[in-house]
Amino acid sequence: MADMTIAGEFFRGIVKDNPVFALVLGLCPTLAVTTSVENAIGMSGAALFVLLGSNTIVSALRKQIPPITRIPMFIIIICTFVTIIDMVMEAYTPPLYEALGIFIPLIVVNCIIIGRAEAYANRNTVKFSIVDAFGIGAGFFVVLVAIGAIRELLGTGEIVLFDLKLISIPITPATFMILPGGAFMTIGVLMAMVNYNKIRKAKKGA
Amino acid sequence: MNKEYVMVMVKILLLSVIAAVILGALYIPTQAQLKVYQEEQRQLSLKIVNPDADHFEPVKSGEETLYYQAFDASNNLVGYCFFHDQPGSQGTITLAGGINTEYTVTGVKIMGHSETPGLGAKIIEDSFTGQFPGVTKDDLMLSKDGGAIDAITGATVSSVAVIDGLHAAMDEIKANE
Repeated sequence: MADMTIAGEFFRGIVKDNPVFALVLGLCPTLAVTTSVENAIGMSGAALFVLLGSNTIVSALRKQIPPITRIPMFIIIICTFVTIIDMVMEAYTPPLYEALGIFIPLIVVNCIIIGRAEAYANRNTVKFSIVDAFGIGAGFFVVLVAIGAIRELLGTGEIVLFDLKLISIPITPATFMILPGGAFMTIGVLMAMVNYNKIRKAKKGA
Repeated sequence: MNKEYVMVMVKILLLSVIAAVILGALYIPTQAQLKVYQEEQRQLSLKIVNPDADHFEPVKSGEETLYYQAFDASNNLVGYCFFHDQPGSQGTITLAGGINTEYTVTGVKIMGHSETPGLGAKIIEDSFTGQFPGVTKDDLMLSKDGGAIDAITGATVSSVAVIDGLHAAMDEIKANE
């Protein structure tokens, strides 16, 4: 671990340790909120905030947290940040809050966050834990927005971002893409593509 | 050994207390902001349930707003609007309703509820609330009882609760005017 660099740790979160495609964590919110790009941005923003807060506090307290009670203590820390974002969103961005609904409180049990607390922040310095949070958060963001864009575009024929129509294609909207089945299909196809590339690269290297 | 356990407990307690204090401090401003937003939503809802009205005046008893009088652009009383909490099948249903001066419904909007998803939760849908405009107070009951409102299949209790809520609010207005 001596050769850790900030840039390396950041991009590791997006590519090699991408939370959804490589670690296969946090699939539940990934499937549920990616009905539109706007929801995807809101969700990954909220997750990034919680991840940043929990990684920072956990790594700062890592010498103080007794190993036998680490999980309950992680959860208290994570819950605090989730409740903060829950209250702030409800008060200041009610439409987004209604769209994300139950998935905001459920960030508490989002395995990305507790996974990073356990596997990374509990063993690394505050500085690298913050970088890790940004990296993993960015990885989550990229995946959610990609899935959200595909589903919104195919499901409604257009991408609307904060009342601004970005793209519109002349197709008959396939409602199926907005429904849960479309989420499974999109994520399956994307994951297959990512893994295909990975295997091809590994073969070239060998 | 014992001392170690005590330290573990103290640490968890300390962490919980800090978390509670932070959340408590945040609760106050966010709740205040939420109230502002809810009030805005209520003003918008008044317009939806009584589309003919131009402006609304609250009828108050002390600090509490009982209902709203609806006026048209030339200041004639055209009806009333109200918010009413009615027990549903799972929890309280908060509804907004509008009526004209003949006690004919002009519009209904469900502001909040906790009815069963897929059944009672359908009370928020237009296919249910859209039945209400134009219905007189006498016809305001389920079609199986001779009224003008079709209940949601499998959710009679929730459907009746909306109707009962409207009746209760109308009776209150009648008693006041």
